[in-house]
Amino acid sequence: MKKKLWMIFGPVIVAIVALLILLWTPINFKTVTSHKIDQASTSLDVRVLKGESVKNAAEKENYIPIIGSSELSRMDPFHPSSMAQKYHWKNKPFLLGNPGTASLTQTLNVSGMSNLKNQKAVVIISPQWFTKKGVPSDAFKYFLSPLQITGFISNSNHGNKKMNKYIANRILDLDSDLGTIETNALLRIADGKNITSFQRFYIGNISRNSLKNQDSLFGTISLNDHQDKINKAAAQLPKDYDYKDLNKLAVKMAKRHSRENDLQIGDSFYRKQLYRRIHRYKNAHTKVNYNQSPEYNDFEAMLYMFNQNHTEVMFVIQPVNPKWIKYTGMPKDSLANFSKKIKYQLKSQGFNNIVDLTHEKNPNYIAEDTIHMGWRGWLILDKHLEPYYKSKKADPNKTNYKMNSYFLTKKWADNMSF
Amino acid sequence: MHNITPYSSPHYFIYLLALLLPIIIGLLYGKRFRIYDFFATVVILAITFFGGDARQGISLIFYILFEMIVVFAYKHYRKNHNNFWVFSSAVVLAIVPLVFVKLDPILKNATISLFAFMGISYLTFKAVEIIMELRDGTIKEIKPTEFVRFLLFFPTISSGPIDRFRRFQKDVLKVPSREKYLELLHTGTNRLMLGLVYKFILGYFFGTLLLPKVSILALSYGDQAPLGISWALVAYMYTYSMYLFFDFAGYSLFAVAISNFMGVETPMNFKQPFKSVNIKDFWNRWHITLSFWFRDFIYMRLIFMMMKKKLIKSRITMANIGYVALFLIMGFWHGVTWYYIVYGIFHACAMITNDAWLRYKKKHRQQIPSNKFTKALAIFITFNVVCFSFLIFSGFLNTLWFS
Repeated sequence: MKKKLWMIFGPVIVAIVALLILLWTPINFKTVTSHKIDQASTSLDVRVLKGESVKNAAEKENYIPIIGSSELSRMDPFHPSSMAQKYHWKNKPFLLGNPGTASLTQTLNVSGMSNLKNQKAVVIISPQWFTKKGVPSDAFKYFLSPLQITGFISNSNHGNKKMNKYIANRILDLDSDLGTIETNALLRIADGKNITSFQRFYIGNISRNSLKNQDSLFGTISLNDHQDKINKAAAQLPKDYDYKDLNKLAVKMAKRHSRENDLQIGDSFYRKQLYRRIHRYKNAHTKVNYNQSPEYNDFEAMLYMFNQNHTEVMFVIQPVNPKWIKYTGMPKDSLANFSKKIKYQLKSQGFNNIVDLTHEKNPNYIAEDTIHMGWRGWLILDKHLEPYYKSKKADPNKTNYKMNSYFLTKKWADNMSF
Repeated sequence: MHNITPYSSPHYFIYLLALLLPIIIGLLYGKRFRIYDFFATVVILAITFFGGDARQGISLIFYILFEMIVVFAYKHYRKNHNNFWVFSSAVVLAIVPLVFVKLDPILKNATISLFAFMGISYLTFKAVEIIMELRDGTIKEIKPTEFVRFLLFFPTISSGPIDRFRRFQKDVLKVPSREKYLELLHTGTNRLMLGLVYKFILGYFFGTLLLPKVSILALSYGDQAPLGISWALVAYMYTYSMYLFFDFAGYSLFAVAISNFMGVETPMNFKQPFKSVNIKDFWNRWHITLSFWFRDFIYMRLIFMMMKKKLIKSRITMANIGYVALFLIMGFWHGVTWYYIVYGIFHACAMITNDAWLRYKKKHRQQIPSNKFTKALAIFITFNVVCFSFLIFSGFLNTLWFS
């Protein structure tokens, strides 16, 4: 009987043992090569955002992350990845952001980038994140990384208490079906208590180690590949960098690609997304207001993360296509007010490197479609990025942030006079 | 804690296998530990229905009590009487909780679904089967404990396969010989592993990785042609069909495998359905225990009644009415929405057409060729008809057209 039982269950037992080894062994699977990092830097694959291994490997090489959202996928010739490749920037952009990623997702993302310490980063802020209700629960859940949650929980005993409390509360608000042990640990952090030693052991060792191994085993298998797109984009650029020439080229290309409408919106986007329902947007945004939003608090949590890591950050406030503003009847001062409020939050805490593209003197073709940077928008940004990308080390004089927990309160989120 | 859906997470398998171990050892040594079986059932049901929100569990308890009253009242009555209307009322009473649950979503704010819990359909099928067989006289004796054990047999509680009472009794009343049991362990293990591949690799691939992408694509082309027809929609149809099969067949394999470990040979639910040569063949291979239940307890009974009462002379018409009734009921059972009902009507039409074709073929046997190629063609056509029906079933057209 023993032999027969072994014939039946033996293979299963061997398979289970092999699986356990694969998931929990401390072996470092060397799956992340420089080629993989290069691919990941423009792939925009969700696994890159939710994982940790590639990003942290990239921090050891010549990459500076650009943290943003949907605009990162607008890969025209003036996109930073294309420009960096063509004009041989010292460091290359590592793109982190997808349609739907906002401050809270990026806060956890940054918390997982342990190698970002004393390094530089770029954040592209979209005014559209700052809606009355803040980030939709579905979008947050979709990008929520179990690996980063375990990291956040294990690190919760040090770091800023108020920030940890805030983040834990927000995660619990937006996602109610985490694992039981994780939920209980977050509840304790939200209460301002330390996690129990069992929670620390289970989350920090058992579950984190297995998720880490999964990340390094499967995190870079058949990633989305945008290298061809970048190559094609870069090939359209002239050999030498000259801002005036490039500016002309950007206008020329933009004109060629937006013939079918008079809103300066790229034709392919217009055809796919707008053509049938453009009339619905006519004067649809007359009541838009980006000044009262829980997103301001989420954004503050991200700033706390940067402070904790002594990361030097360049903030970019993304423009909106001016023709689109007119068409949708967006109030003139809504963007100005937004930019004023977010800048106050940044500057008063010592985040002084801000590139505000919301009021450029010549806003023609600054956006590739409605609300996403492109063409001239990228080009203007590149002018700021190129010198910033000369070194990837943070300047210690520029990371003396003075954090103010007032910005984590609802009072600030709703504040209209600043 | 949360309620854990059976076979959905690694935790469930760990709890399950730990609980099964004493049963397996017992059976290897020729013993069934009745009290332990009962204990294991209680634990598993607690994990499934009382994990977090206990409402499902309470519903389950009341549902079982209600069905017991109906079944045993009818059993008592049946000893000396056999009135058609009393029988019909018993069947209606037995399905009332299920009907309420199915009607609930279309009534706004109603809470008539007193007994909502996962798997209510499958328990109802079993209860109705017992009432029907009590009337036929094929089941004469059934004890309350046997009834509860049959209904609450935990490997199949959430989604079948739907076993039959007498077949089930035969297995649980005896202990298989060691040789026979080792064989059951062997096939059970194979099924468990195949189920893992089906549900968590192939089902995951088609359902979680591919389907959302295809869905977004199909929706983005939704404005560009009449009825939103696009190649992406065709891709959605096949992707969804593959997902549906691998997910459900995977689950069914788990249910049969765990039954096998407990020394019960629960019937299989799928037999390579995409190899079917016609739609009738398909229903003999797809969700077999459900289609056989509908055949035995709805279709055959309807035909028999029509013959006895001589309502209709033509056998063909009789069969066709039977198909329409069967598939309409199946459609409503899936849920009271237009696409489930259209799915039912579509399959009824397919069955009627198929019967007509088979009759035609029989008459013209000399003229119609039959070889490898015609068989391949038959499989191809059946496969596409079936996949199209699953596109209706998926409800995707509802999203595409109406929202």
